[in-house]
Amino acid sequence: MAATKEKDGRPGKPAGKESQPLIIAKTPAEEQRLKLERLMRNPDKPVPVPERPKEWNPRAPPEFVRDVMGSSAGAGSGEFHVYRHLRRREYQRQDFLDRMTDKQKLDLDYLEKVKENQIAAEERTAKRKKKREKLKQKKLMVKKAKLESKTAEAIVLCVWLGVSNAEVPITPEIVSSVAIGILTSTTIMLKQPRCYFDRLEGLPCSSQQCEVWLVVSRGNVGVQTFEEEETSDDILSKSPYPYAFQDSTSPNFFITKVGLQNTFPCIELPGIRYFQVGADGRCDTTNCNGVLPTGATVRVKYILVDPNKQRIESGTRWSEPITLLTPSASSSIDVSTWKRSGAMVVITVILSCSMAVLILMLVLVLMQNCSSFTQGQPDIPAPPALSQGIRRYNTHSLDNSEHYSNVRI
Amino acid sequence: MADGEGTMALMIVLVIGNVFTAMLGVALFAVAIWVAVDAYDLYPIAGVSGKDDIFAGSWIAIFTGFAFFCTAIYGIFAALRKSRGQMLLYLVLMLIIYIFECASCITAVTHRDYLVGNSNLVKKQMLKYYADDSYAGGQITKTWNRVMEDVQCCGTDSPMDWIAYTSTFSEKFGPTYQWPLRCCKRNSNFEVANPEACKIGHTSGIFTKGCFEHIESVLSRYTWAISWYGFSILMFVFFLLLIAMVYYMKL
Repeated sequence: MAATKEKDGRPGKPAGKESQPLIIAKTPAEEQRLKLERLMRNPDKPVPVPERPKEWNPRAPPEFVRDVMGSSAGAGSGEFHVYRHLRRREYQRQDFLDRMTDKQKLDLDYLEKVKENQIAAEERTAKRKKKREKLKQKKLMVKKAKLESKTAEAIVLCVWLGVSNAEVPITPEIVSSVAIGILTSTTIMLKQPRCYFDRLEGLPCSSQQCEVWLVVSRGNVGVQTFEEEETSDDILSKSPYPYAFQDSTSPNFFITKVGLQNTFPCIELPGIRYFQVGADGRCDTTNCNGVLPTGATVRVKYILVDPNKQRIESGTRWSEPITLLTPSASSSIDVSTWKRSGAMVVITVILSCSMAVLILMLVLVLMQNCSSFTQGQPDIPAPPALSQGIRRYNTHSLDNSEHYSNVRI
Repeated sequence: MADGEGTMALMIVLVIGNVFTAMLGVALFAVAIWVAVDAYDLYPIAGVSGKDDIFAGSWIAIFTGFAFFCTAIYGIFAALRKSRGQMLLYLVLMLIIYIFECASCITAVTHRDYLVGNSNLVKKQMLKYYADDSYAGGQITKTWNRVMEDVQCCGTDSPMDWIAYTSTFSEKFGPTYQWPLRCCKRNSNFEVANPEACKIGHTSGIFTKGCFEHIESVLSRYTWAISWYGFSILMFVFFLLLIAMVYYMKL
């Protein structure tokens, strides 16, 4: 086998190597693939990476110039070519120098740009840092001020505890959106008065006795009316619910019981805790939790009541105005705004057109049919050279075979 | 000779086309029967609004489907017999059935757009007729109860529909019940799983999906069955009739 490989003394492949099948690359991708495969066949062999070709430099002027003509000699025929060559070389040199300077200029510009960008970035960082520092300082000042005011308030509260109408600095709120019905047209779901009044001291009733009630007032009228009558002894029954929102002379507020103070402890209880204003529906007792007028704007306030003396001991702040939903009438839904789907347009247009085309074609076919009956058989053309009198011949064809043969299809 | 061969080719095409049309006609007949029967689950929603022509379209399609079948079989014989009179009769009959089928497709798809193009009509109907005492109200109430239970949904777009609009239901059951009890999630023994959560509208106690998607998809399904299938049959029959007219002219 080895002998047959070496023909004419040419070195053949070393024994042991099998010849690869000849594959001719049809696309550049395939060419690349073949080359890569060949390289990967012996991965330990270093890959030949050719050196980068040298940069072109303009040819150095020759040290010796041979065959210099005398200065007075006239130009021969070759002088033009000599001049031509040296002109070319000179232009090339100038061009090369221009390119070099351009390149250097670009490099320098780039370095300068980088430097400028760095400076700008540092400037911006410094500005923002200053802003952040300022904000931090402000926050610290506010915190300090709050702390001071809280301690001041606590001191003031402690001093004022003997007097009724003490205010706990808490605002009642609607529960965060956990359900669909937190605000409807007639009811509101408020956060429970958990731990609202537990920090007060010097109350005439204990937490097992004190009761938390809720004042619901409509608009500023209700707020003012309540605050005027807050200190009276029968405040709890002064504005019965059925007559609270009747007309413009009504008090526009009502008071309803929420529960004992110890049912709203300070520890976190599981589940969703809420108090629904309006849970009793349309009721008619004095202090029932009845529904609110549709779409009204109300403000609520939790109060702490001493059941023995029927007096208001403390209360939270008034809540923000809560506007109940006003349901729109169902007859206001506009049913004329349905949109035509694309399918309907396509089907209608195409079907109507095709129907029209078919009817038209049928009418045309019928008309042609009628006209062909009156004219005889126009599909066989009359011989042009003959006159009217000569009899016409029908050729025997497959079409008319039923007239001439007795074979029925 | 070429003429005769052309006529033979046309005749073969016609025969095959008519066989196909007969099969399509039977299939249309079956699909239309399915739509007419199956649709009585949601029929009141269309019926009360007076736009129930999706189902009228399906009734027409029952007759045209069967008529296509019979006329196509007749057309096979007319083409084989090569008689002009019979071909003419076939063309006229097919055209009449074609017109009726067109009417069925167009009316089905137009009424579907009117009913479920957007959710306004269904929502207004629900607010007006649910819990109403009239005959229409009873039908709508039953249909909606079934849909809410099967699909586990509430309201048209969401339960907020019951709060955002006045309705017959809210007038009757007032502020105690914001939405029907069918909206509440139930246990396997049909007891309400969490009445408190349902009353306040918490997601653990109430279905928050809207029912419009389901109603729209069901009505659309019927409409596409009648109108798009009818449309495709008509397109096929259109070309078949053109070929039949050419054949008739050559006879």
